[in-house]
Amino acid sequence: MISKIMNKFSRMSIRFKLILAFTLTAFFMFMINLFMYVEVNNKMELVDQVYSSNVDLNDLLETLEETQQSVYEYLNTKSSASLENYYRMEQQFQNQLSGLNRQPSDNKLMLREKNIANMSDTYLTLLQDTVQAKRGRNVEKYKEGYEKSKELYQYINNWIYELNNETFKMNSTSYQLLVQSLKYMEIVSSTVLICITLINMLVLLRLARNIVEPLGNLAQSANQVAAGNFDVPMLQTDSEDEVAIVTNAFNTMIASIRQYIIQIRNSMEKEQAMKEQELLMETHLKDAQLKYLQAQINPHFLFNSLNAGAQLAMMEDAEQTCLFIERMADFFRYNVKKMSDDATLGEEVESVDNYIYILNVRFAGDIHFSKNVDSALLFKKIPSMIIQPIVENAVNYGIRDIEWEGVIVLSIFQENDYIRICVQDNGKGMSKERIQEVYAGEIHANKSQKDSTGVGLNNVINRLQLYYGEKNLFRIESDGTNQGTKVTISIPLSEEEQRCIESY
Amino acid sequence: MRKKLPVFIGISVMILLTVASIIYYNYITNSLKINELTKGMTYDRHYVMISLNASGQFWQEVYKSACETAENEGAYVELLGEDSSQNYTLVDYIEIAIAAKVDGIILEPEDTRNVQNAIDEASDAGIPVVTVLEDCSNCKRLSYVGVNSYQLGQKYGTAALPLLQEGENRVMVLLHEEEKDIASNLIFTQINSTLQEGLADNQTAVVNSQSISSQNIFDSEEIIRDMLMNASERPDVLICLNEADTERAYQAVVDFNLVGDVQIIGYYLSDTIISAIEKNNIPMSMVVDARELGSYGVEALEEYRNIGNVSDYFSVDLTSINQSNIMEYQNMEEDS
Repeated sequence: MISKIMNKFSRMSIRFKLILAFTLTAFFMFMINLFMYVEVNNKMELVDQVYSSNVDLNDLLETLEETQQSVYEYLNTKSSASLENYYRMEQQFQNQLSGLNRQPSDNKLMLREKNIANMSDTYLTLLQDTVQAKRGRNVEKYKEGYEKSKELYQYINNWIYELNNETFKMNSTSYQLLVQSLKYMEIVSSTVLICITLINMLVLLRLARNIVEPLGNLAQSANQVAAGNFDVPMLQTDSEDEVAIVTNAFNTMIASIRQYIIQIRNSMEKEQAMKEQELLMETHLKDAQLKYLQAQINPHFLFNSLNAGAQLAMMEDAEQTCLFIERMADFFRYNVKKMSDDATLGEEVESVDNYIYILNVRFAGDIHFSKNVDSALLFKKIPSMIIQPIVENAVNYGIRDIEWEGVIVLSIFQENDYIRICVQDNGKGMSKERIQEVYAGEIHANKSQKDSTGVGLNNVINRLQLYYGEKNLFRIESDGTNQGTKVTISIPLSEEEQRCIESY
Repeated sequence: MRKKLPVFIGISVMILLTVASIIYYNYITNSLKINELTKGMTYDRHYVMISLNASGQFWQEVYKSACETAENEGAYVELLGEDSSQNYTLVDYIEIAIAAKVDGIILEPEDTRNVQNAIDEASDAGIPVVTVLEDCSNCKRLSYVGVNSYQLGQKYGTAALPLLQEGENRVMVLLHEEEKDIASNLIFTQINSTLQEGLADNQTAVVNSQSISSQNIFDSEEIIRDMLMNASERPDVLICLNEADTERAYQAVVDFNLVGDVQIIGYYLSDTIISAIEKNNIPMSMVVDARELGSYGVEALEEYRNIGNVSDYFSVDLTSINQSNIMEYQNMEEDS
């Protein structure tokens, strides 16, 4: 039962709790005051009643006296005025008597009242007889009646007087008792008021603490959050008031802030990774460029010189020489120019053509190079300087110094989502261990190698991986020594590019 | 939940405190008996008991018993002559009772003409009158409750006999002027004859009576002291016929250092008399059963009211109390 009420109370809003607390207190104060007023009124009424009895008795005494006087006057003068006066007084006396008790009682005062009333009745009857006798001129009878009435008058007078005295004595005692009871009431009511005030203060204090405590906790938590500590424990509430609503909202806020922080951290990590990738890529490019520049001293001077040579050959009608020099100039220009940009597959293939041409001039046509290229794929942008280093490897490590005729085949075709760039030679081949070493990047381009353009396989593999974010785009296959080598580069195609190629 | 508990305890304490203090306050004011003015049992009939000695312990006892009997019958008895500041005579009281139209009068009368007339007047007004302790002859009283005067005189005489010594003895009987009637005379003569008959050979007894007027309040005291001071008239045995005389005589005997010289035969047992008997300063006291007196008085009135007729005489027990049986008597009183 109590727990039910308490549950209900804890579900109330602060406003309602405060109103309830104040209303209850006010109600109790009001009830106590009401009780006090009612009691005071009751007691005052009692006092009134008590003293009015004295006043009534005095009136009765006066009327009695006047009645006796009026009878005497009538008997003395027999005037109609005095008779009238007697009748009036008799009526008044009778009226006043009607207020007296006429029942035998063990209360002395009540009993006295009864006696007075009865004696007065007897007295009045006697007076009537006397007056009647006077009117009938029965001298003997009215004289006797008057004497008797005087006696009775005296008795009644004394009794009323005594009753009055006793009533007054009783009234004084009652009045003292009344004063005493009012004093008791004062004590009781002040005690109750003080106690209620104290308890009320305690209740309000408790209530205020119940309200303020969670607010304090809330503020503390908020400060911690403001200071950057998002791992504050969730605040507990067992009520359902306004503070609880705020606390719950705060808890929700903390939870969602934590969620956001996790999300932001994830995306920042991603961004960081991407930046690192970019930086790495740049480093590799720079590395390739540097190596190239190391190998080429002042390429512009070389181009210009080459161009001058080509013009000279043209003027001398040495067409072969002219073509050779032009090709060489193109090759180096491409190398210099395209090192930092992406190139199309077509440009790459052209670069390979130039390279092979130059080598064939150098080695008197020893390299049999053929290509099988899907021309629809030539527009595809890819990192530059990818195919040429592979071809260079095929020349330098595959078909150089072999007994048989060296052949290099370049094929470019689409296979599923990829463009496959395949460089196949029939040279010395590679052992499995060596292939693994190449994948692991443990083979470095021999710096003393004079024929190298300076871009190693390692560089190509890393750039491919960085550019497309995929591994295994570079594959080396060889069946063993003297079995030739096949190097395949896979370039991923987006769906849009695939559609584009299909429509070509 | 636990946090809310103090709030609820507080509110409960508040309610409890308020209710408790209101109850406490009511209890206190009720115990002050402030409303006694208008309180009281009401009764069907109203009797008055009139005695000029009403304030004495004996009459209080009679009155108490009368009240108890009356209450069972649904009547109330009022005692007159007790606290009146007016010097009313018996006749006055009877007149008052008649005027107040009471339902019956229980009266300790004086056997005088005026009282007889007043009793007749009451009877004519339809108010039955029962005389108690003393009778009133030649009037229309309804019934008499009390001790037979003849029997009383005999008892006193018998009681005085063992107190007499060899040689001449003076015996004094204190009578009241109003009682110098047939009843008083009867008592006196009966005492005298009982004594004379019972005297031993070597004893003589002179029995005298002293009348005391009850009109003047202090007369009785003066007369007793005069009597004791005068060695030649000093009685050997002093017989008192009422409570007040017994106490006065005893006080005078003690004051004049005459304990043992003057033997008092008293009447009734007041506290003073009891302690005197216990010390053997008063050898004996006659006790009329006050309770019987009161209750018979009321019973006579009730019987008359119910049947219309009632016995003329109700006899009340008379006991002589001395040192040997006083304890027994008191225990009996307490039991009743």
